[in-house]
Amino acid sequence: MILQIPLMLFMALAQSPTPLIWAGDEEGGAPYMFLDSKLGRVGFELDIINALEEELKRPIEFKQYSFDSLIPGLIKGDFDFAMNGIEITEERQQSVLFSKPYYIYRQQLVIRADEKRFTTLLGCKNTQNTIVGTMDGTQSEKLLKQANIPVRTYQSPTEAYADLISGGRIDAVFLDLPIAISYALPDKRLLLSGQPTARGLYAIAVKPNNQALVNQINSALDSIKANGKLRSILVKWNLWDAYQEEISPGFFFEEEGKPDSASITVFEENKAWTIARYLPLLLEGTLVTVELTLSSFSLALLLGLPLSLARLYGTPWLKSLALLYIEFFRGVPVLLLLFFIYFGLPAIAESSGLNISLALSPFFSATLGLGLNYAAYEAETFRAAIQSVPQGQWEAAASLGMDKTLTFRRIILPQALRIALPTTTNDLVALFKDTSIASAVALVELNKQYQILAKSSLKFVEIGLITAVLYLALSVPLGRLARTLEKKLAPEKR
Amino acid sequence: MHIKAQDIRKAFGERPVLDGLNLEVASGETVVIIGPSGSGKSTFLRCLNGLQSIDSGTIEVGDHKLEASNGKRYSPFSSDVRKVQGMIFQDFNLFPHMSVLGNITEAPSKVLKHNRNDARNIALELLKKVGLESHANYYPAQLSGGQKQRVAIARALAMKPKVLLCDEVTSSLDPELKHEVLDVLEKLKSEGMTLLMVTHEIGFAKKAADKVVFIAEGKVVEEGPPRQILESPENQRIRTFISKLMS
Repeated sequence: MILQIPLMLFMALAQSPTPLIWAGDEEGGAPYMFLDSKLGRVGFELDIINALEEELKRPIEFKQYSFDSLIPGLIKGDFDFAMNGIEITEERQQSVLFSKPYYIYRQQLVIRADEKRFTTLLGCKNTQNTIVGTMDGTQSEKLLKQANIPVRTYQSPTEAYADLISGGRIDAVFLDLPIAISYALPDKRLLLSGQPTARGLYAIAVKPNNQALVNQINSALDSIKANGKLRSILVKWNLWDAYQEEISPGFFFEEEGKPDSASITVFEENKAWTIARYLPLLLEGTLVTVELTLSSFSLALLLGLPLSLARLYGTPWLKSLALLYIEFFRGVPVLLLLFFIYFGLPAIAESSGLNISLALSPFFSATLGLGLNYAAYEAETFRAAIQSVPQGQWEAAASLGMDKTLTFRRIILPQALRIALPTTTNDLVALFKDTSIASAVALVELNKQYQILAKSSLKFVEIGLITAVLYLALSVPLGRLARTLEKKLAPEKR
Repeated sequence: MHIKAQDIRKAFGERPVLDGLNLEVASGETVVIIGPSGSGKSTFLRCLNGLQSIDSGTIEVGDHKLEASNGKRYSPFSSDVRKVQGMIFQDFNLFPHMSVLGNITEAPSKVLKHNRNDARNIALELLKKVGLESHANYYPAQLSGGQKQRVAIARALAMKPKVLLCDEVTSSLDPELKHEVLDVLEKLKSEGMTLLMVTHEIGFAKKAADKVVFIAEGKVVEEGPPRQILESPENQRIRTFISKLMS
């Protein structure tokens, strides 16, 4: 009976084709893909994905990835394809495959509505002391730099436009037209100025060596271009313009698209991001943070104790190895370590011709990185604690005929652990907060969840405060526990 | 149990601590060792128990022998003289994370492999002997100094030693607590235990010792019955030392 359930599950899985995994960044990604307070994940690319799913007759599953990591993640093989306003560039074509384009984008200059000094990019360049905002790692950034215009880069468009509105820090924003339409067009304080320039192509990036998938995607794209689906999606999102004719033969430009208030949700619906909507998402992130804390701290403790023993009682060789480990992992920034584990290890496995995949999951990578780092600290804590057990304890045990191992296990270690406990608990609190850097390897924990939600809703302060409360609700009791333990255990001497 | 130490030499770095020390203790004898501080009394006891290596000489405890380590790395866990000798320390060295009962049953159950019940019964009997049967479940931090030292004695006795080495066992105690420990030791003497004590308790030495040994600069200066050494020693240094202790 019990065996039947997994069997049925297996059969169900076997019947449906294996899903394709696609990745994008939902953090501040309107109109491509973003979190809507009512509808959840939406965007014109999501609509295209749904259309492709129908054409390919295969389920397509989403995987959250930070924009910077999309191409590295693709090369690493974490997913089958990436789609998130990825421009076709020569540089990228060398490392990944591209489908046919699904959108022809241009760059749009956005200025403050009350800007008097200039209306074009050239005018901006010729005005004294101007800085133009754009996004990190985009074609716009490249263009601005080529034109020798001072640039400030942002992680997401919301930050760039918010900075432009607040005034002072930047004078204009230069970004892809769809972004400008989503974020700047509905805002009366901003103005889309001058003609869009610098045409380019968005296409789906596919894992290298998977030409078959490129072909499938291409024929699916051809179908939705031919049957008008792509066009209606672009019209719905207010993105249709004459330029799209080039990639959608047979459909002609009919009328100038007017901003369709229904499709532009980002700025209007901020108020709909109520606490009841975002708190469950924050709690999900909290759970990941707690899980990561527990798993990486367990690893740190499991490695720390043998390391401290090697350092205290090992042969000279073992001693220096343990010391090398401790010095190395204490000296290397955790972020660097995480990147190395996450992106570096698969590359090493590949280039050295190893037949095993070292592509670890985000959670496992973060556990490993934080665990290896904290193990170095725990090793030193344990060493100090073991050494601070009075010599008389060793002698008393020896005089009772106990051998070295027995003495360590029964007499020294239990006392050392009590001595180490307050320090260890403090380290646990520190680790708990350090887990936030795991967002660098695409793990959506509490801090990352905050960033996604804040950028979708623009409620940086409100959601930020609640996120802080969630962190504090866990770290303050832990800190108190550390202090209580310290008080309780310290006076206990002989 | 018979103890024989011959020509024991021990130096810490350049400084000699034991400088050709000879001593014999007969089975069942109570020997009190006195001498100025830094004279090597405690070091001698620790060497007898193998806690410290000797540079030269021989130590025999019954059938067990301790040789010089000859420069080899010395592990205080290697010798088997502890099968017949127990040791009591000035600072008690009880295990703070274990109850009184746990302190006493630990070695019998882990080293002698007694079963839990046997170890427990022996421990309770010994606690009765040192007058602490009601304190079995206390922790060391809850005991007075005198009580701690009596637990330490019970702990040593649980390993059924033939000899007890007592290293200034009353020095950390308030004067009014010393007698409770000394009373226990006197009781042990009457039961035939061989006792080797480093102490400043002249009163106890007069009352209970069979032999008093005066050590200075790592050598035995004079030894003999308590009355002879404590009241009419041949050596002037002993006279000075004792009058200082009395004042």
